[in-house]
Amino acid sequence: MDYSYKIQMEQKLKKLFDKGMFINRQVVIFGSNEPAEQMIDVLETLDVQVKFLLDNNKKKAGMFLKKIPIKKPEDAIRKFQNDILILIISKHYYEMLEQLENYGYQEGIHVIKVVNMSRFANNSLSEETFSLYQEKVISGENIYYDIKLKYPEMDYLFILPVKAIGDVFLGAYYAYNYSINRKISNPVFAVTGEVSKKAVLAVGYDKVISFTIEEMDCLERFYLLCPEEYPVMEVNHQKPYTCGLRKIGNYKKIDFASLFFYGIYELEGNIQGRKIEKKQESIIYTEELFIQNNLPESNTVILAPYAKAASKIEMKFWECLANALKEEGYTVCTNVASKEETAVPGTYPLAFSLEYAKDVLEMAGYFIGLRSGFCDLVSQAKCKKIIFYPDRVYTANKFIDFFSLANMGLADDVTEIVFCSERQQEILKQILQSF
Amino acid sequence: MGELLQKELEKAKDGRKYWLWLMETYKLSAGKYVILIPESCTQDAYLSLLFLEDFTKQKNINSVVILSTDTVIKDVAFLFSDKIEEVIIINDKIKESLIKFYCLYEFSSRFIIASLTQPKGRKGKGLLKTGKVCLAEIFAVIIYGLEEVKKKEIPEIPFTSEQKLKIWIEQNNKDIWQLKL
Repeated sequence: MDYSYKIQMEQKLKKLFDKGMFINRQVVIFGSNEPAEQMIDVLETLDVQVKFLLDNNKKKAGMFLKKIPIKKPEDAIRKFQNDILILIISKHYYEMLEQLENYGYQEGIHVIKVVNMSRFANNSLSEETFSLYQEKVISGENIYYDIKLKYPEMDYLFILPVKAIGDVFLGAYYAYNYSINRKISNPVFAVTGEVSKKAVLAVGYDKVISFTIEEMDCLERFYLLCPEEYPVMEVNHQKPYTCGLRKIGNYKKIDFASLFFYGIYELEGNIQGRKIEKKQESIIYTEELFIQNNLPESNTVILAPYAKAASKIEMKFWECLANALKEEGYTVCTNVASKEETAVPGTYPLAFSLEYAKDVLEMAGYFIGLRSGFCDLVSQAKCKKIIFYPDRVYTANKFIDFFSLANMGLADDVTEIVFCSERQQEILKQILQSF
Repeated sequence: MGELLQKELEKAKDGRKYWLWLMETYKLSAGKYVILIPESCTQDAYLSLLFLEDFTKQKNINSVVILSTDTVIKDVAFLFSDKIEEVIIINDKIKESLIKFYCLYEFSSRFIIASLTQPKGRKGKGLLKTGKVCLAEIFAVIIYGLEEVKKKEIPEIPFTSEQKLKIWIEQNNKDIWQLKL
């Protein structure tokens, strides 16, 4: 979950707590994914117990998230219970609310929108709402023409709207094949935030502009209404809201890369993307990084324990792993990308530009990480790579079915482990034996 | 603002007016959906009717109003579901205006555009190249959000039905269940 949403969530839950909203209530969360996990953590600090989680995904019913049972709404709450308080963080808030209203639950009394994630959905039909969105479209048009002014040779604009490294990487990576088919020679990429910009630069493109969330919102709206002949495309399986591909992700194990390659770009043949060449500046950057941090080439392990979508692995495991590797003579670092991320105890915090991440890992020699977008970005790094996947369902199948780098054809030299806390010791042993 | 964009926004404005009329006339509320079938002579149109019953069951929908520019939909729709309250024939201008309004913002979760090629940004057909899913599945999951897609036979066509309806159904039923590599 985006950091700004996380802050909103914490503030809202604290506000609800201060108002006494949790007293004598059965607290329930609708959804059983990463936002739900984060909410459970925050509520724990407020000493509020979540009774159960609701999920319309039948495959999740009967499972547990953080030892809290997951139930189908029609089984758990169809019979009206006045003391229920249902917390929701979801882009599909309005759909979920409608489902709950059908059971007799009321917004504000039984149902609370903890964070507003659905920027595009707005059930208001007022003239004010219409004008508001009209203004956004016009702003988006201005942004588009500003891009054209900055890059007059631009013959295509790829909009990569989501602030997620994996999404941006795949969007840029396969834009190459799309560009060959369409004889695009001067593509420009529009992204949200500087981190996303680095992800595109990492693929080897140099014409990238980053925007704020609000600016990107306007540009997306312009895209939806601009005439078909404009050479512009929004590239993401979740956006725009008209796209629909998100719903079919992992259905019959259709993986993440396929959604981009076949779904969005409508390409044919075996999945392949742009060949990422080594750049001189990257070599220099990497060498300097290793010298400044006193890191040995080919004997450094970079840990990446943080991820937005995958469930966290407790820090104790990472600490044990780091200590064991140090005993074997390796230098162990933690990739820290923001101030919220701290190094695994006993390891060096190592921050480096995403643009050169692949080369950094190759010089290090070893990478062990929790599945995240960063893993897509470094998937082709020639080094030992071990990736942990959470042991959970993701829509219609398992998380690893959708996100496996090997299945997606992004890496043929990666070790992928489904992590389960009961098997921690066994996994630790497996890793050390492979080193 | 460019002239082309201005025209699109005007269409969106008209779309809003028509939607407000629909809401008032058909008392649209929770449990009632509006499905726009933008192209009638396509497999998408057929699939939108074929899976309609499954969709209404999954979402606990009481009734559906269908919008189409072609009378063949009016003739054939009731063979597929008894939840259809009415099939309204609209002209291309209204169809376009509703689509543009939907492209401005997602004004309702109860409005569905039953097509894999419209509105702008809609994707899905390319997934046929994965060899994992057929057209029927792509449509059912993306447009209607169905979690499970089971093969369905064509509905029983009454003996008295016009030949053109039989032809429409048979033509659009071809290959929708085939996996293509």
